[in-house]
Amino acid sequence: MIRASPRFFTVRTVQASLRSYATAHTSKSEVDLPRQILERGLQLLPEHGWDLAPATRSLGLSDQAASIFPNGKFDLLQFYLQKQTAKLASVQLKSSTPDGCVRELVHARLLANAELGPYLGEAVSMLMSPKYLPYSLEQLHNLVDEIWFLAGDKGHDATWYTRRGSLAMIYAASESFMTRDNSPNFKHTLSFCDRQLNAWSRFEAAEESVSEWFKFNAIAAFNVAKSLTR
Amino acid sequence: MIFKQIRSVNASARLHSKLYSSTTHFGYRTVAQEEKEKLVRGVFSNVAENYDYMNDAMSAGIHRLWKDHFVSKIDPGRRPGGNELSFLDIAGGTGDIAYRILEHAAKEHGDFESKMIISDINPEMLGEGVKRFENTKYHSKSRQGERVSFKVQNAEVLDEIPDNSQDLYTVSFGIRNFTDIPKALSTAHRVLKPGGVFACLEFSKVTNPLLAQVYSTYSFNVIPLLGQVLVGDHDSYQYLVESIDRFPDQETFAQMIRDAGFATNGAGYENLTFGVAAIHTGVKPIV
Repeated sequence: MIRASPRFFTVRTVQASLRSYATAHTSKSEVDLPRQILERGLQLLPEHGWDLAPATRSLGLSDQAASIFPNGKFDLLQFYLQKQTAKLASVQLKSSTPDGCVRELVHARLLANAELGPYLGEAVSMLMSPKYLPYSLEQLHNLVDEIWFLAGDKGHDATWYTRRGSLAMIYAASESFMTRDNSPNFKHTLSFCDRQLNAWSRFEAAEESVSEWFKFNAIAAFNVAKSLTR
Repeated sequence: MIFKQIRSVNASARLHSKLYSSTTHFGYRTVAQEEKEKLVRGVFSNVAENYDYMNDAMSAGIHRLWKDHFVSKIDPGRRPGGNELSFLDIAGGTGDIAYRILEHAAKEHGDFESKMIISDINPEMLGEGVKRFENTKYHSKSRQGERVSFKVQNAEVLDEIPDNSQDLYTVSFGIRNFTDIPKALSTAHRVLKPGGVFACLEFSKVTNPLLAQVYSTYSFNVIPLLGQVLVGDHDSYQYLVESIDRFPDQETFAQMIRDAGFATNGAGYENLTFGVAAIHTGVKPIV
């Protein structure tokens, strides 16, 4: 059941242990207070959204405590995204092909957004804002990288980039679609996502045939040219 | 757990004795601890009247940008559904941070209730703040003015500020002048409520070696000269420059904040203008 520890997850644990070293060993406080605030923020997320004040208040802290997070709400959102990406490792995959696994994982990740309710829209607009775009893209990259890894993709040729780029676009588009989806269990979002994935694999197949054709003709043309100059 | 505490106390004691034994430094001079307070007081009494004017001249106005960024970063003000807050501005003499905090709270959070204490060890500097506030809507006869109080206090003691009473402790370009910085930090920890934030804006170390060279040339040659030319006081500005150079670097100071019992988020500081100044923050955990 335990898959070979995913790259992303390993990196994260190393970071986490570094951080706990920095605080727990060198400060009188035994708990990592910023992390505690973020964890509480996640618990209160369905009720209070991305605001940090309810979290600090419920921990018995001054409202001012939230100001140690330089990006406020967005810091909670980033924390949420990291956790959601890490959670994908525990999805039980049924498909045998990498493409099928990718589809299952993307669906699982999209459906995890359901608990956000009305706050998904706010999250998407924060992610799109120019100020946070570099961080958003990093989170998105981590997500699709993890998905490909978990789907068992070991390719390391030039399509490494296109596969991640395309999946990132499909995921981001589906997530935006989701903010306006009222269908039960986000049926429309999932079918939107599937259409994009299918279109993409058709495109990939088509692209492959086209480039094969060009390659064949280029070689043929070269040979013809060579025979003519003889 | 106990061992860990002992270790961190020991570490802070070592640091403490290294930096502040019975003697301390006043700029590059080594002086008796009792003397430093007097000497610093002398410097600030000398510069009080021209303090902000000189800051403008020395930093080409950049200190205003730093201060604006400092206040918007700590984002002070009453939150919806929350209580009014208590702000404490230490070494707040001329009141420019305090004024920015009150304005930010009003504009960003519609907060017209939170209280502000402006404290300074130096009555002359505090006098400048009182004078300045008289020309604002926070003047002493207004309703808004009742929210503001001025106290002459030693930041290492703060005998008029009760334990666990403040939400925000700010100190801007002040802490490097304190005789005993670890003691001031633990006093900050004492007066803050759990979740209360310690925020410090202070000169720091330029990280890029090339820029550091330029900066040190500028600060050691130009600033005392400006002091001489503009306000006729070379020695006070010589002290300012030396005290900036003696102040611990970003990492060391962040560690001192943690040793005083604060929790920091990540590294606990942000560099401004290549590290010429830095903002350090810490939050007091539940005790």
